[in-house]
Amino acid sequence: MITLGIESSCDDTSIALVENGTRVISSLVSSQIEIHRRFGGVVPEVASRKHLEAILPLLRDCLDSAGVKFGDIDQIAATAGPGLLGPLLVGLSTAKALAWYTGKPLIPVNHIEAHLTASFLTAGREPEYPFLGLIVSGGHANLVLAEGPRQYRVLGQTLDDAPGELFDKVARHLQLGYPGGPIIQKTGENGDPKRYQLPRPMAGKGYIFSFSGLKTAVMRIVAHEKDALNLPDLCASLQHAVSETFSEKVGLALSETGVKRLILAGGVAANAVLRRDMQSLASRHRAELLLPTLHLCTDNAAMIAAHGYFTAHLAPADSLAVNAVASWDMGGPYNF
Amino acid sequence: MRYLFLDASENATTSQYGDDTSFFSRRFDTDRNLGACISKVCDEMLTQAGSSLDDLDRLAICTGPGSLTGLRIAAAFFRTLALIGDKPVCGIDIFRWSLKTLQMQGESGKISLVLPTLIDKAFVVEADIDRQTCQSPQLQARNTISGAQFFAIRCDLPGMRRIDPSPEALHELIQKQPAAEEFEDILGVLPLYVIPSQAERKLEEKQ
Repeated sequence: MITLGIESSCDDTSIALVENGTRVISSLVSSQIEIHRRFGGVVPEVASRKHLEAILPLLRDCLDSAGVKFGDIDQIAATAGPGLLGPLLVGLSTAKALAWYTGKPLIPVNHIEAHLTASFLTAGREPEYPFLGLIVSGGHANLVLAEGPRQYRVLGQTLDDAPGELFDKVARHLQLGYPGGPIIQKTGENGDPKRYQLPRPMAGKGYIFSFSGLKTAVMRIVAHEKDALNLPDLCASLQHAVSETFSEKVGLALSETGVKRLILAGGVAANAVLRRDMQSLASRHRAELLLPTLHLCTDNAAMIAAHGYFTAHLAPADSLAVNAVASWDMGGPYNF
Repeated sequence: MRYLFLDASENATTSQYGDDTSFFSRRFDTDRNLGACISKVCDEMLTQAGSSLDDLDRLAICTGPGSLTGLRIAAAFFRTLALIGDKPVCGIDIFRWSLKTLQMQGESGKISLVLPTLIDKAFVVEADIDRQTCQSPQLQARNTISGAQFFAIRCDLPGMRRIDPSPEALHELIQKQPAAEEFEDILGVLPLYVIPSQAERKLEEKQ
């Protein structure tokens, strides 16, 4: 069964074809990163405009590159939230037109849930439950226990900034550029992660995350060190602090739940320090760690198609009436 | 020629179906919910017409100015239909639609069309009713606009006459205006007259 996936929740337009939820036939992404770089962040109005321009050429290229025709597609999965409303509406309206015209099922997909499926897609496997999922991106820091398709227990989330947001803000403050995550990783590659003492936010306080204090701490160091500041050491120290924070809480969750499968997902899952530390943590707990490929860490339609495939039976019959929403809890009801 | 048109430039959505002999227009109270009900709007129109998408010879959408979210939903939906259904699609902008309406109402000469956009600004277009030509719209402060030659589109503004683009004028425009048939041309059917976002305006000021 071939699922067409459409993703447009932020600044990446993406179209993909996935077979049986486990094999990527074709996956294309049109990134707006260069357009938004000059603004220092994503501008929703500009993003909406660019999605509309990009989506049909991408759809055509995706089908052409795979040698697939519209008639070969069995169902359409599209991100319905959470995300930026304008961009979401472009992708979802395109999906609705396809579904309405062809009579094929439309599966509205929760973007954050789909990030977790990306790791199973990487492994070419169907999702297996239960598992612990750590979703880390520019907008999220969620630790969840997945008990079944669209069944999640949120163990913890951030009270303020998400880690990707933290990296963006720090990179902007240090005038390193945008997006912050890859730049901070590259700058900190050969840095000393123990040079600067940064706090481990909410350490020993259960599953709650908070990263705004870490940003303030970095800014204090920058102000204090002035010309003596060692940028690689600071970037390495920051990543170490973030990764240790996650390690402590994920370790706690592995111990308390007894779950033996861990999924790392989201844009920040591409961070090499975090990936390495999660691998060590999983080994210590004798748990299986599933990581998405770097290509599937960032927003992509392949994970939308895969998640759509595995949740199609839960989608409402009148899915053409489902609306896009900026905010949508994992496992929450579809929005009409 | 059988066509289906959608205008999502306002809070309510207007749709029109027409063929060689007749047409009908309906207004749907979609408010800010067009994304959820666009297929239902099309279903209802085609059911009333006793027609189907395959029967249509042409699709048409309003390209603005107006609610950018609404215009984008309509554009995303109709452009995709044009692509997969192999249907020509044409964009109808409100200035040309208003100008055609004025001509059909027996007006003539050179005029200015005014469409409020931001709180204190409006698009102003100089146009010639007899030649059916429009200049590029200029964004002007609302309090600088008044005079007998000004027509306010779909609203009442002090010192101006009001013009409401008519279904009859739309019917004629859709029948006569060239439509995009090739893929590259379909991509060109987009909302026009996009007002720069606050971030873009700030960046422009900085530069």
